[in-house]
Amino acid sequence: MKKITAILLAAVFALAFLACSPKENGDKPAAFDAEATLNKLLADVKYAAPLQDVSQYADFLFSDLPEGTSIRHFSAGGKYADAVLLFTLPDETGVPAVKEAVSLYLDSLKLEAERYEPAEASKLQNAVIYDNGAYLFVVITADTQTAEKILG
Amino acid sequence: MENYETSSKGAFVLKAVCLVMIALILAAALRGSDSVPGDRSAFVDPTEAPTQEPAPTQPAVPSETAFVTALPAHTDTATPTETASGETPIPTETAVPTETPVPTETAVTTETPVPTETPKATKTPKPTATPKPTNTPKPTNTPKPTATPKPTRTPKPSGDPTPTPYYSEPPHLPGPDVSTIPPLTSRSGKYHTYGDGLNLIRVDNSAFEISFYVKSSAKKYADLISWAAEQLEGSTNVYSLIIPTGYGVVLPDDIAAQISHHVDTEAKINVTFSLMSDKVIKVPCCHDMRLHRNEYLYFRTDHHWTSLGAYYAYRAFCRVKGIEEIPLTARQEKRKTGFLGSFYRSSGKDPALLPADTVYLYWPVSPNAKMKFFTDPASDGSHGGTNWPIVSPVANYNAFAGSDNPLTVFTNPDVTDGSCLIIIKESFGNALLPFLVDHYSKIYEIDYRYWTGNVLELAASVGATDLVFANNFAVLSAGSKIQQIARIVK
Repeated sequence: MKKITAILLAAVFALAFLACSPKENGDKPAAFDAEATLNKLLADVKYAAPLQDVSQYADFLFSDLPEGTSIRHFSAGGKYADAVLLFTLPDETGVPAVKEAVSLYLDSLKLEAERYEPAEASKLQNAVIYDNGAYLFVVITADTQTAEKILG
Repeated sequence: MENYETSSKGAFVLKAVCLVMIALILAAALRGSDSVPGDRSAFVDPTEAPTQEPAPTQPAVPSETAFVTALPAHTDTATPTETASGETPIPTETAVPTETPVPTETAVTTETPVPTETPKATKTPKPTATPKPTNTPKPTNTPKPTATPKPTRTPKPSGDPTPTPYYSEPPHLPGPDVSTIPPLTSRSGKYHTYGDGLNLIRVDNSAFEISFYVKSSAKKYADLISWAAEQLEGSTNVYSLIIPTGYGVVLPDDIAAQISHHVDTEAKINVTFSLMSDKVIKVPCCHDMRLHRNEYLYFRTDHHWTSLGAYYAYRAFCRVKGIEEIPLTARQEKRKTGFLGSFYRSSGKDPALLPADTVYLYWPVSPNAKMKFFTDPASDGSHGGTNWPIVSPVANYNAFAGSDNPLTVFTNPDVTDGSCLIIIKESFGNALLPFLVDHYSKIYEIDYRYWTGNVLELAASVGATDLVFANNFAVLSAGSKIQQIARIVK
């Protein structure tokens, strides 16, 4: 009797195993739309002040990024740390280098915030960093929940 | 996409569990054992042990993490109220300057009587030929800063709970002029660090922030200043005054020798000057300060310079501009004790940094000079504003020029030549204003972090004779600061 129970249980698990197997074509992720994601981040996430497009000055921000990397930068400016950055790389191999540069950048901003605008430091501490393929987003906001929801 | 990833990960785990369970059940069934899943006796039966399959391993956790929380290691920050710089960035109209509570000492204020003979505020002649920075070394390959640069050969903290029981404040008045840079040696011969993520070190009872230099960033800064000088050629003289931090001036030599990738601040400032156009007038104040490095040029518990440090930079500016400086001895002096600044907070209130610093205050000699600050980031200074004392008798760095505001306008009716200065600064520049105000009819002090106007347009509209970029050394390795300057210049 116990043997039969065991075999039945095994059968149940085998069925569960099959049920969990992905379908051949059904679950493939859709292509990532960075521009749409950026627009959603700008529209839906709450920021301390309206973000200005300062992409024309983005080249001053970083040195030695992988060649061909472009940056979109939206910043609240002034005493607010709130910002969104989108890095578009030629390919995903450069993402770790950009992440390192971003880490240094946030480090420097956080030090500055701790000295002059302490309330902003936690936003930098909890900055949302997300990469997908050759794209990398950095979102600095108190509304990390919405940002994370949009990004993932 | 994340849903897909999540479901994939979940399915993977579930599948692994299923496989393990199936294997166990089948093994038990085929052996004719009475054990059923969950009965651990099947695994511990010594007679079965030699033939058992190895225990299944945990399914690998995907190494790719979509979200990364920035700066996870840096958790020893004090609460905002503790870290809030004792500096009130934007005082309100009704605010009264307050003093930082003195934890260990009672604040004592001593006043020096106002000199009976007030020197006349000087006029502002045309600048003389720009002197070339001295000791300009060849540019060298500078190592890039790492995320958490750690000094090497860090001696272990002494473990001695009692701070070094000495405190001798260096002279706060200018010493005799010398031609060679005096050596400085620490008392302990070692330095103390404050953990990952902080570039802060303590030598004896003084804290220092380790400096970095990124040549590519410095080039961008140099190009920006050069560009402004090109635009303003013929109408406004453009000066670059790169302010060294304490690390570059008063760090003892024996400690500098112990720090890997130690940056020679004066050399790097000179490299940066060499990257600038000839149209930029360079003020090599670092050398002037190093000649007096055994004086009280920087606070021990804060990242700013003292009045005396700023005075030497002002003196260098006067020399380059070709005007006569007004000495400290001609100024009203006040002393406020009990200043514990940003380094003290960042160190977690390290008692080894005690006792507190002393803030020496010097007033402008022009009796009618006044200032007004503007909190509107877009203000051009023509309307509104809040009157504020140019020097406030408080025991912190807020004492100078009302601290950090988007725009501050100084008017000095005692200077009648119509001269006008625009100074682009962060907090370091504040301590220069009580000295500079004696030399100009009007000064526009702009904090590039908060102001949103355009410097070139302002220079044209107010007829600026001089434009000074007075930025501390850290700007040369911080793209974010250079970008902020670019936003108000270009």
